[in-house]
Amino acid sequence: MTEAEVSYHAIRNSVAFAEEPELRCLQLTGSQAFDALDAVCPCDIFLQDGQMKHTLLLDDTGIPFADVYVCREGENAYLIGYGSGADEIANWVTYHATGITDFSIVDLGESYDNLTIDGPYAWELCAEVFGPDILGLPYLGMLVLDAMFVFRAGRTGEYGYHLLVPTDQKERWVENLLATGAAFEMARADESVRAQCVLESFFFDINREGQYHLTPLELQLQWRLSSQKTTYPGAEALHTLRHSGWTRRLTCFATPDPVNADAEITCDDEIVGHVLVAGYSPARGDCVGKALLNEPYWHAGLDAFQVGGIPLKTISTPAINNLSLKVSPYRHSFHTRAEDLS
Amino acid sequence: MKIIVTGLGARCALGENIETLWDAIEQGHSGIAPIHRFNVGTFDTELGAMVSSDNCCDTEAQRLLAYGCAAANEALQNAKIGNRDRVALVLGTCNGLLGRDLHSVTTDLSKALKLGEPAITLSTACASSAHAIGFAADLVRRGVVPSALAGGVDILSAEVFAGFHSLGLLSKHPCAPFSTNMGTTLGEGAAFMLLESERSAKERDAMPLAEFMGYGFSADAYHDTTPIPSGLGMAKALAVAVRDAGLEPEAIDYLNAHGTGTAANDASEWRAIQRVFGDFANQLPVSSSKSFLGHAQGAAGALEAIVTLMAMAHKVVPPTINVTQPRRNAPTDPVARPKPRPYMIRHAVCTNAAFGGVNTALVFGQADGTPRDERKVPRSISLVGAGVAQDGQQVNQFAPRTELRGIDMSARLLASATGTALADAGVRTRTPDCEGIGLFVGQTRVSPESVKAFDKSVQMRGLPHLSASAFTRMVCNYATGVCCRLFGLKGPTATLSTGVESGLTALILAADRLAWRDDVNHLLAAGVDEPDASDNYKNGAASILLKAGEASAPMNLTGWALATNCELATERALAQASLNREEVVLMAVLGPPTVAGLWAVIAAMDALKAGEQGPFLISNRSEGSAGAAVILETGSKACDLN
Amino acid sequence: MRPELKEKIERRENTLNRVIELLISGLQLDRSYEELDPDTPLFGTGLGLDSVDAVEIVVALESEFGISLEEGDSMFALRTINSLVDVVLRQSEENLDDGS
Repeated sequence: MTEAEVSYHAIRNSVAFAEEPELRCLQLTGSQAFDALDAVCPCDIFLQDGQMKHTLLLDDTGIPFADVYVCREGENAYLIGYGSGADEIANWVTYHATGITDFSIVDLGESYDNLTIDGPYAWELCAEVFGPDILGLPYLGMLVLDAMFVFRAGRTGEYGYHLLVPTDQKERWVENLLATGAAFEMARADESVRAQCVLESFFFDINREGQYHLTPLELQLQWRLSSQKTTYPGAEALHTLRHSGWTRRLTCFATPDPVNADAEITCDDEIVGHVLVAGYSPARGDCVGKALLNEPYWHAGLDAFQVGGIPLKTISTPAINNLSLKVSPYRHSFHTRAEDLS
Repeated sequence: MKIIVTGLGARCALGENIETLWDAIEQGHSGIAPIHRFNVGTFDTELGAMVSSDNCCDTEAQRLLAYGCAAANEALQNAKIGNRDRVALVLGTCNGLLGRDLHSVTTDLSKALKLGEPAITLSTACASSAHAIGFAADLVRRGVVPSALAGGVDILSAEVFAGFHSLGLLSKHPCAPFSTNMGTTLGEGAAFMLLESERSAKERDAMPLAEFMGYGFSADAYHDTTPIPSGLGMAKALAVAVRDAGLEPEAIDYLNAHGTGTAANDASEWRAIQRVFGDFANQLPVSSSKSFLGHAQGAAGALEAIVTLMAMAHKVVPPTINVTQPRRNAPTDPVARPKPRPYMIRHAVCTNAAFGGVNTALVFGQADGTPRDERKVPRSISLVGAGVAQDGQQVNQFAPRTELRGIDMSARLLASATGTALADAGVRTRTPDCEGIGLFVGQTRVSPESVKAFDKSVQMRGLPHLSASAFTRMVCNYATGVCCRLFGLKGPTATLSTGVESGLTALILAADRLAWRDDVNHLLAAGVDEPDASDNYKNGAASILLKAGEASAPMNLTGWALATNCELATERALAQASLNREEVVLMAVLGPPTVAGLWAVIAAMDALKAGEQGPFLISNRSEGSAGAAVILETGSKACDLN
Repeated sequence: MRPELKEKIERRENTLNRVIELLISGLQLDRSYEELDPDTPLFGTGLGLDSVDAVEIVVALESEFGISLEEGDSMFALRTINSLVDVVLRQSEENLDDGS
């Protein structure tokens, strides 16, 4: 197997580990920390202790510039995600939280490093390395464990954890992970392979389709927006678009052969959209991608399209069935996986 | 004061009385068998732990009463109690009548047994009877009554069976907690214990069976039906209980777990045990009696406490049977063997958890333990916030609509009043400020709106396809659980279904609890009343935040009392406040029955704020079997119980 | 547009509409039809659905569409609105095949 194949196999079947220096993590403290988040985030900021919620940060035109989770732990709020620099996000929050003063923002990236662990047995490895509290962490939950922050979230469709460890402890934790991970056939996750897994799961990728100046409505991300809130950056633009209607939508597709980003998609010689992102899916054995398709061709389950002679069909998401759905921390173990899942 | 257990009684799948129960456990015989009383042919399992009964009972109410009478009479006889005039009844029940008219079970039983002291009903789903034991112990400890019969009764009906089945919680195999076979088996029965003050027991030369040492209650504030996976809620109840008993965790010799057998419960519970006991958890025998008794719902806590006390008396640890292969992340020592293990238990803990995110832990010890230091002077009780609701609309100010999806009118009303009370007191919800705040609610029945939705789903789709979400709302403490989740309240909770006095009863028990126990400083006392079609009053709810030990509070509760009638309750409340009847202003009690008393208290708070002098007396207006009275005063006059 | 494609799109849209209506009414979702994108994940999202809702969806699929999901299938069918639509369409096509 090539290195990329090993990496993919680990994410989909055992455990993979990545450092993801591009993951931002901001901590908001002060009595108005949640008010500040409420002012800038398009989702409802109603978080129980230890709860995370997936949302976006939008510019004034309603276009996402960051793909983030908002979280609560004790009195503090957290904003973690991708797509922008920590300082830029902090400045943007401060600028838009008009009239809200009693909060301050710390970039945890200055004193912590992130370790991302993904895979159907990520929970088991993490519990062995970091302790049994990991097992009790529900999806989209966070906890503070000794000196580190643990967030249960991921974009590969498998069990996923982000561990923020103090920078001076990082080496030790990595050694620990590598040592314990050997028994789990853990591999380092290659960045392009992770992106491929994100694509198979139809998770939003701010660095790929996020670069096409599309709104959450076109990106099928309305579930990350509140249906009640009307005052956040970008709200007006989205309101206008909702009113006028939108006529194109990000849709998942599959092709037997590779196709290129930006290629035109046709239906009986009519151009009905174009490819934004595409790549090979080892789990499926064909190519999958995300296309921007015009109404009414924007539905899944249609096989009437072509990309330069290659047939293209639209499909429902996610594009693959993840092993993690079948793996339960209550019943299973990596070490007995052959019997467990037979 | 030591609280002594002097009598036990049980009617369950393991037979007629506590002897047959104990024989079965000694022999390793489970009470789980195919159900015949109702048709289970269309379900994945036919198993239950049913009381092998004659055809004595035409209705479910009769059956509840029959089981209750059998167990309660046995406990009274076992305690050799002659005069029943000074015995209170504290009963936990939930599913027997599907949340309808719960208090009638208690009053019927109290009448049948000819008990002379107040009868109180707790309905906190599967923790009901454990709650009842804790509250009964408090009544005895405070000297309100010399003795109390505490326990619970529940029956397994086709609806409850179908409801648990729809949630995927029932096992195809006999319930095997901590084993790789997951899921639970439902059961039924009744169990009671007589709790008595040491003095009362000595006076009548009663044989002490054990000491009730302490308890802890908590709320998960996480989910309506799933326990919080971190185990934090149960860990809190356990830690509080062990501390209340004056013990270190290492002094516990045995833990009788809730251990339902479901994946979510057993993992969360073990995590909680690990949190509290640390490495010692690996040496602690932890077994679940549900492998014998099934999950007896509202009666589970009392039945399992009785198994624990019998085991203490017989110097053994009861086993978990049916275990095939040990489960991952489950107790290190589940006592997985066919018969009990010889072992001397000095102190034991019984845990229970329930829908609504409720946790309880009860601590029992050998009767010859040394007495512990107790608080001699009560803390003062001030009223620091209040909220009233009539249409349930205010809740929308406190939570987005997504968080309120599917909640019923009772929950809306209670959350509206409680959110308003917390805002009135300036509490920031869902922050660490709320960690220690508890919620005692008076609610006499399940929301009629949810009953209707549930009945409709059964009618239209049949039992096997009933609405799972409507079923999860069919417990009387559903609204209480919703409030805890919405506002992040994690302190002790209880839902009192004690007829029309429920609201005032909640206030009185909350005040008493705060005055005498240091583990909590804030409690909300609330009530909710959602009428059904036959009632001629409107929706209502009230919630009041109480604070203990506030040096200079503008308003205090200086007297409170529960008694068999309101005259007696008033007399006792006045005596506590050192006031004469002529010195107090009687507040009118108007509104929906369950909340009218609380509305009157809030009216008195408003009057005091507006500069009226008071003191105010509020007592319930009913002619019923119980009375409740409280006194409100301005200024910082501390309450004086002498 | 070719008639068979048009028909296919209409069938997809009709089924999508019915599935979304079923979700809104059956789960008391406080979302409008336009807000529910077809590839919206069902769980762990802003919709706030949980395991009890999953049971409701399975029962509703059975009573509304006559679809009985096997235990193993349901976890893969209950991922997004579109994956539910797939199951409904597949079933109705199978029923058509059986009928011919």
